[in-house]
Amino acid sequence: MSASAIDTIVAPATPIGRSALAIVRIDGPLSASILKSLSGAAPEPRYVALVELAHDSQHIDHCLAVRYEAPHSFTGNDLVELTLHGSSVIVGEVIRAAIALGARFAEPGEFTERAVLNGKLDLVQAESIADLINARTSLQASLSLANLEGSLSRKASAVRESLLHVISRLEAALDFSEEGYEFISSGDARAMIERAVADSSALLETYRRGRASRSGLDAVILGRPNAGKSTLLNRLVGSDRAIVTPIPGTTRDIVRETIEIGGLPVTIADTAGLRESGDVVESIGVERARRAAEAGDLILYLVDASAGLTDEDHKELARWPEAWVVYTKTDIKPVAADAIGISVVTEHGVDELLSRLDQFVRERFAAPEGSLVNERQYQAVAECVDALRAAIASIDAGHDEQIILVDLYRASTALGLLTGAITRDEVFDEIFSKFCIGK
Amino acid sequence: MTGDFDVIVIGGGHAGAEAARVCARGGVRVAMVTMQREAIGRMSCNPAIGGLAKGNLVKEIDALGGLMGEATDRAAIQYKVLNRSKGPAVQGPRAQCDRELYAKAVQEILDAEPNLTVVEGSVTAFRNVGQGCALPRHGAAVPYSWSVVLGDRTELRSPAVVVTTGTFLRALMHSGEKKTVGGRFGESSAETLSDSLRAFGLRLGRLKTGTPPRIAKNSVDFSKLEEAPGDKVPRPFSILTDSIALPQVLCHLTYTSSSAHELIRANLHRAPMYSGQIKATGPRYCPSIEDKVVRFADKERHQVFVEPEGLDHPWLYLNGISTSLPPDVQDGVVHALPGFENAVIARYGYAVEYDFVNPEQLDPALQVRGAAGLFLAGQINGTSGYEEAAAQGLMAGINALQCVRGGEPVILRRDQAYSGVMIDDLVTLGTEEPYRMFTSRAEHRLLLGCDSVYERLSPIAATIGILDDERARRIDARFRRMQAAKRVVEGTTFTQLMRRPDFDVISFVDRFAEARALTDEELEATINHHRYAGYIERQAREAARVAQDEGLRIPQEMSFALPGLSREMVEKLSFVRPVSLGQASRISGVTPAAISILRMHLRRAS
Repeated sequence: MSASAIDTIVAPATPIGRSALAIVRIDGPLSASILKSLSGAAPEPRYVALVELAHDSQHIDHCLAVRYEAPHSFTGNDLVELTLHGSSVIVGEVIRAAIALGARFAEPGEFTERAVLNGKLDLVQAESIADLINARTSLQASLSLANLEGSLSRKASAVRESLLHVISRLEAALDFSEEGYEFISSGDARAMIERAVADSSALLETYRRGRASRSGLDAVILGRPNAGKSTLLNRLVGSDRAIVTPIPGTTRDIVRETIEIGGLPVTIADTAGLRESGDVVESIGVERARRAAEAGDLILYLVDASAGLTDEDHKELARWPEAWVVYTKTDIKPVAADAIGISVVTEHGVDELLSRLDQFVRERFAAPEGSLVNERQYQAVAECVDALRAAIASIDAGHDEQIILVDLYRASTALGLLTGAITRDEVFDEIFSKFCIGK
Repeated sequence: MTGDFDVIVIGGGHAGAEAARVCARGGVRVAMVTMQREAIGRMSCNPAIGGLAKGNLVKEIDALGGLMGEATDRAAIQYKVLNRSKGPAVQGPRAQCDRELYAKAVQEILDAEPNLTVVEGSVTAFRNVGQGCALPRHGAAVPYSWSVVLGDRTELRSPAVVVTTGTFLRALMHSGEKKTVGGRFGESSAETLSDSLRAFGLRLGRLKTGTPPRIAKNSVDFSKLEEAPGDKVPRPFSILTDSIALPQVLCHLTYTSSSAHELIRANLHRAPMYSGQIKATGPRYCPSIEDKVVRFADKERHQVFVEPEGLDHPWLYLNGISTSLPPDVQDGVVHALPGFENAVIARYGYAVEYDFVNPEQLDPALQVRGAAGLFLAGQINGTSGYEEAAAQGLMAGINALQCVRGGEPVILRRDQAYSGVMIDDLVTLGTEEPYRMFTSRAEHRLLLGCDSVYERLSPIAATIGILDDERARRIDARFRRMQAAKRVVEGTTFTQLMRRPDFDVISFVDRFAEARALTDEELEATINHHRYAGYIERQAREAARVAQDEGLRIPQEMSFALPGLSREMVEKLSFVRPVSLGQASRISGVTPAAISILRMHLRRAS
């Protein structure tokens, strides 16, 4: 990037809030001179320096500074990273000082954008960085790192290779039909496309998990009135988030709280007790509870152990076959050993429930490396699968290469969002390197 | 002699002939400068016109009023539609020609143009002489800005020049260790023109191409060759052709042998490509036999297509073994071919190296950027092939014509013509090897079938006044016949049945008089229209979507040093200077992010 073509931007690189340390980044041609003005120091590039920051004769902070020189930085530009003490006041002062010295506050994602424009990151990697920044838990962070290493790109590349193989041979059959070659048999082409369908479908499968790891899971607590739903929520959250009374029907609307289970953010919804009610507000609450359960990833169906499973419970549970039945108030009446029972009063079974939840979340939703994590990627791969299937249908219908290729190029273009589309040069390279063409 | 013309065409090959003819048709005074009058329209390589993708170019030329299809039909001695069993977009009509008759046909066609003057001579330089006197017939708008100087000091002047010098720029022929200056056997080289081009700041590269040995026909035992017949019913290229006059003949096939391969391997050090004598890049799709043997060592034999050079011509052309090996090795390779044991080589194969202009320096009208009125066409732009040259010659000629008449440039889109794809590829991507047309270069290939060429392109030719009356009449009649046939099947089950590969054509012809009125080619086109309708509509939609970016024009004077664009992007964009966002997006290595930035900027500016 030409130094004069861009301006200098500044922004915190760590979330604003209470923390031990906070990092501020300054990117662009003025970054080194801003550091010099603030600290009086011009440290060697890529060496950590301990400096005193001051502006307008006001001392700001005692911090660590690293200066990077273009193009050897995250963005590819001249870049300064300041590791400050974690205080929003200090961060604010540093940013204001940098702006006074010629920088401007960065737009969201602007550092990453610069890195992409300078060819430091490809698009998939850039999206992973956005996810990394948004990562709320440790599992999310490691998943984002895996994508950054390009394992998603690698998986998609396998599909791309199959595509290039078939496309180049079908093209050769059109453009070099006089050469006396059978470049690829229809059966081989079909098999290769089938393989690409399988590979990209597998990629698609990872999306559900990937999406879970990105946005977290929804768990819904259901049960008859006074089954102890709000009590459980409060216990899981660790505060009196929901109002708890002995009066059935206290919770009228949904109360949601997010906690971490199994390394993922899990939003727990406490719902209105399920019963037929003449109360309009309460019956709306019941309706909402059921809707939440339909959309949720996990249902905890609570049953008051002292009352046992009622007919209403049986009826309700028939609608939620995957729900976990959790008996509450086991301090009043114990339950069979193979059932899940808890007492919030005595803490009986609570840890066990938590560890079951933890395991469930990990097994079912923890994404493997190289998952699709956003909607854009999902749509691209879905389009790719659709196009590949259409190509197979064209082969089966006896169409010639040019028709099959229409859909293969559609697949390639869709996949291109992840890997870059297949170019004509690559097709020719493949043909000319594998076949002796030319009379 | 000193002369003033409206357009000067330098070169009388396939590009030059089209350029000169179309300008003359357009009603301006044209001079064609050529080294040798009788070399006009000469086929310097194999004696065939058309083939896969190339045949489409010839049809496009015919639809635009060009001459290649007409000349071919007058000289053709075998017709064959390649990829006959596949869709119309990838079918490639090809004709073997009598090479003497072909050149004669081109010369006759040019002789019939009263506005065209052929000037024999070698151009030594051309230069921009700035604001000269105004053209009397076109007002003050277009000055005589170009001066073309010939070897005998003759000076010609014109407001527009089309340079079509083929392989003749600093041409050097190689046959084994022997090097001869010249662009074609027995002809000379244009040694100083490259300097004129460099004087405009143009960057030149060097390419290589090759020819195979020619064989005395009477020394070959044809009983040992495989026959390669043409189509039973010839399908002419030009809409002006009613029937084929010349007798139709056979081609033949034979194969190289492992003993020949061994001989080549043993003599590789004497091949200019391997000894380092030639450094220029040759075409990958047309490798020499020494290249084939080295790169595909495990292939036991290579096909050789034996083409007659003409009806009475004493030579045969051995398509498939182009070579620059020394004569004694060529003898050995040829004698190892079945049927050629006692063959006499009438002319040995040779390779030719020549200068070309990196075509990214041209605008999409094939005009040198920053040199108004200077157009380049054909092999000088890094292409290979008669058809590629002719299609460029025609477009450069049309744009030279528009230039001197003060009209808008004519630029064919990628979804409109293979010619449009080729020219866009050249001026956007440049080329590293001699560029040849392939159907796979066209992303909207289904829209570019030979069967729709008159619908797509003839109206453009009509608008700018280069379509002759006879063509216009025949094209109109064809339109009407096909429209009538389309109308009668509309709403019948035939439209469904036609989509099936096993559709019974006879049932269609039996049922409708309108179908019986069609020629075979029109009948196929009508059925294909229905068979591929869904796909064609889809490609048309895609093309329309892409066209939005084509419509976002980039101002000529705009600087690409935009905030957010990397230096690499700025350099690439500045070298090609795309005229639209669409063209910018096709430049090799320009990233989608850079295009987003460019789009934002263009939107903000407009």
